Amino acid sequence: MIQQKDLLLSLTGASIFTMGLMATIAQLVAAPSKGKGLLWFGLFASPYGLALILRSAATSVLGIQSEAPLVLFGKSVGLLAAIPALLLFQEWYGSGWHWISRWLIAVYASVVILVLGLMALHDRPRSIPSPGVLLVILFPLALLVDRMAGYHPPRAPHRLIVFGGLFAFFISFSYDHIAHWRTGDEIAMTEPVGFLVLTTCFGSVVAQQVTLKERERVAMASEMIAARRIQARILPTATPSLKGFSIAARYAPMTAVAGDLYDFLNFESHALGIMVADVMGHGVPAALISSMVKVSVTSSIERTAKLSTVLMELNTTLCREAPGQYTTAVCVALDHETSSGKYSSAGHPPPLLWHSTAQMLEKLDSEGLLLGVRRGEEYVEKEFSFHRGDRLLVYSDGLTEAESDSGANFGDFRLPALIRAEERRSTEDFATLLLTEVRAWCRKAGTPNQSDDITFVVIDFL
Amino acid sequence: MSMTIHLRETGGVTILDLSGRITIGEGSVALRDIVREQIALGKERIIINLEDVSYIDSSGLGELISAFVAAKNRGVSLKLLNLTKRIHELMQITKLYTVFDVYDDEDAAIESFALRE
Repeated sequence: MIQQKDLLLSLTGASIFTMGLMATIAQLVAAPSKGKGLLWFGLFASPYGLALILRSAATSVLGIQSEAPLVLFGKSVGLLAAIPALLLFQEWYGSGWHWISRWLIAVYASVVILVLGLMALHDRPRSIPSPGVLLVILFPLALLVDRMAGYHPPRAPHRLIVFGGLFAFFISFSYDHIAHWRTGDEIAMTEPVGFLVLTTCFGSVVAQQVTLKERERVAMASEMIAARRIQARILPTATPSLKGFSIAARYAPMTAVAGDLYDFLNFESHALGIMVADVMGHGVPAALISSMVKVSVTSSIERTAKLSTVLMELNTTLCREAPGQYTTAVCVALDHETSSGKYSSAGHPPPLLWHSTAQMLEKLDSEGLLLGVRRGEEYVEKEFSFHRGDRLLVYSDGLTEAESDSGANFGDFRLPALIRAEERRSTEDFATLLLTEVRAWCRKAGTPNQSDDITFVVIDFL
Repeated sequence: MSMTIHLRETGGVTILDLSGRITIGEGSVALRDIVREQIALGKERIIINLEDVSYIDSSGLGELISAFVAAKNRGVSLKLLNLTKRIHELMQITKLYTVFDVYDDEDAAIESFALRE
């Protein structure tokens, strides 16, 4: 015969068991970085729920006598479940004075194991006193000792709610154990209520923390959007229209903000200046350094037309302001009237010059130390000449180092052929094609897999 | 693909045999940690063997440089050994060969510590 209260207890037990299971899974899957509160809660709630079911359902539904192993099993589980509960308490409360919490847990655990052993061996397990009573006495005692010794639990948010819940549970736990002690009644009545209070408290804390995390994430996302807007402003808004040149540029960062930078430098009216810089790293730290690069170069250009000096000053700035962050950069100056160009590089991949008459791709090689490594470093300026129909590509290593599935890099295996084959394409079309090609190159198993910021500028000589 | 580091000592010199790819993430952090650890242990001569390093990206390079600078600041001598062709080229373009001492032969590298002092 099923009694209403047994049914209620079974249902409560079932829902508590489910909550506990979910919490345990959540901890194991999500593994939050701070604390194992969820795990202890899960390990506490699932066996507890199980114990409730067994204790109430077994007797009424299955008609098993209270001495039966199943009920005893339920009781044992219930007792053992108090250990994770104590661990949960310790998680929030701390170790206490002279690690009193740990002693408490150790003592309780030992007694429970002892009692369980005795229960297994004894023919009349009911006669063995429940260690729960021990906890009822020791626990407040421990708290009192802590208070007297001047121990204060660490200040953690939601501390009061969790303590409130644990306290409610403890009261109901104590009540039931003391009642059992006196009447011998196996069925817990108020404990589940206390547990429900605890679960609600715990649940509300978890909900608050999740909400907080979500709010932080949203705030950070909107900051990134703002940062991206600022970085977009330091990049050129349009390619310059200068007599004798046709220019196209592409900027494809890996994340919202990037360490790559390109700029057009203002020389005399018939000269075109291009700068491409690549701060090592990605994301916000690299983007911050790239702002410094922009300011330094813009300021240097106002005072000097010597590219090697621009790099030298940039190096000084970076060594001073951003030690430990390294950057590569290349500056190119093109004079349409003399059909000549100059370039200076600081550790940057060589610009590529396609000679259309000779049908030859030339690497504008240079050796220059990475920026930010050594103060006082001097840079070299080299010259080259170009002709009508030639094409110059200034880029960051995100273009050439893009790797295919098989580990082949774009710069060695695809780029030269592409430049050669597409020499007739217009500057803009070529830029579009190049970006499409490099993105297609580094797809892994059909999905986009860009691993670095991609930046390049294409200049056609008219 | 991650990087593995094998540590050995010979003739008073600590040699770190790297293999795999030194890229952003695990690889570069592991390198940084082990070099700092060796410096903290008081080792004064370190060789980083890049023979089995298939690829190094800008992060990895940055870590090598940082490791070198950290070592230099503590009076520790750090040298590079057995660079692959690609890494040689990279060192060339970035002119890092003027920063690092690079060797093709382990014995020569070990001997060079003695010559310096």
